[in-house]
Amino acid sequence: MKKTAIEEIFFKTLMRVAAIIIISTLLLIIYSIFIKGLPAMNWEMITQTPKGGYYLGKEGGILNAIVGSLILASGATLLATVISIPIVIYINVYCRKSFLANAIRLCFDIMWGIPSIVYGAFGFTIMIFLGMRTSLLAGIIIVSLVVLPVIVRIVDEVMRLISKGLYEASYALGATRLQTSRRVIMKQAATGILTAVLVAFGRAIGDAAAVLFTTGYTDSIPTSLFQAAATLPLAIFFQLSVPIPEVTARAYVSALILTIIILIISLLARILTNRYKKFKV
Amino acid sequence: MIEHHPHLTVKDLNVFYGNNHVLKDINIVIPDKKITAIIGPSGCGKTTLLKSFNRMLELSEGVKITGEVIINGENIYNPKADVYEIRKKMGLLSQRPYSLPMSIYDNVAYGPRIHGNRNKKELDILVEHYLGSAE
Repeated sequence: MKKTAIEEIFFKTLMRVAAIIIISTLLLIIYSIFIKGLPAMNWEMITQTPKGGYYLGKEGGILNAIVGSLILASGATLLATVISIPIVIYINVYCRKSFLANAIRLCFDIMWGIPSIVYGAFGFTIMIFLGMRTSLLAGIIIVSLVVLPVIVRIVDEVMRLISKGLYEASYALGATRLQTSRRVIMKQAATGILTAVLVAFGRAIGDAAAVLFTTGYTDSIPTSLFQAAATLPLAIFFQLSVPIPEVTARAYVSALILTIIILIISLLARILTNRYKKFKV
Repeated sequence: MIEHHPHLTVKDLNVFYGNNHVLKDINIVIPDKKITAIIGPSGCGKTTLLKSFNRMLELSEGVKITGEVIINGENIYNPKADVYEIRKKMGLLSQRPYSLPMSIYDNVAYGPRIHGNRNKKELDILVEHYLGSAE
């Protein structure tokens, strides 16, 4: 056999093995969560808050953490989106100096790389300075910082790929940069924006470190943004560290619920992305 | 014979891309109501010249433009000139046309809409007229 043909087979096998390892890891994670979580799964878990003795294996559920996580992740993603879209439009449409745009991109790359526990510690320092207690609002703000670079960089990569000709087609008709951004560029980047928002939501809902100091933990459902709130990742953490089998099993139920939420989000992303592709050129 | 007034006059136009001097001392008069063709080898600056007529050049980074382009008696490089009004009047179709990411109707209606026409009936008539004349 020729050397090039052997090379081809060798690398193709290598790539397939890599793909199989990743996919089987994912399947294994989902499998183990289902196996451990499903037996302890019941209606009570998702419709009730922890009752007295919950952490000793008595009755109750984790509705507090489900609600807390959904509010926190939605709030943080919304806040981050509202802030990041103007930033990306500035970098791609308004900023004429590419060195400045690249400097801003570098800042967000660094922000992306900062571990979320550091954001949590940073938020905690500021909260102590301001005399604030742990609250849903503090968590939303800090988690929005965690996911901000995610949205900025994903949308930015999509907008950078947009041809200059498309901008010029709009400018040539006398459109301002704002009109071009809103009516043409945002539409063209719509699928990218949607993907970014859903990826950010996935990261926000799964983050444990940033909410540890900022949102706190409570057994009741928050009724205002200024109250502490429970979140699913912390629910997993606390229940897993209780040495009672019933409670440990509930940690897996929490993990199962978190995974199902993320799976739904990912599927939604796929479906919506295909729908928004309609007018993309 | 019909007298042809200059519609567009270019005076001492120089364009630089960074240190690259692309257009050197261009002086031309383009008459009214006539078709003017600009011919030249690839990369000689035809598109650059055309883009200078509706101030599309300044969108690129590091472009320097000196000289005047006078359209209907008005220098479009006058700092007080309204660049969006200029582009509204001076159409430019690129070599490779781009459709905007929206429906065909919205593509045709895009121009009037960005200039403030929101009347659905008027837009319907406009769009139908222009799509009809494309046949």
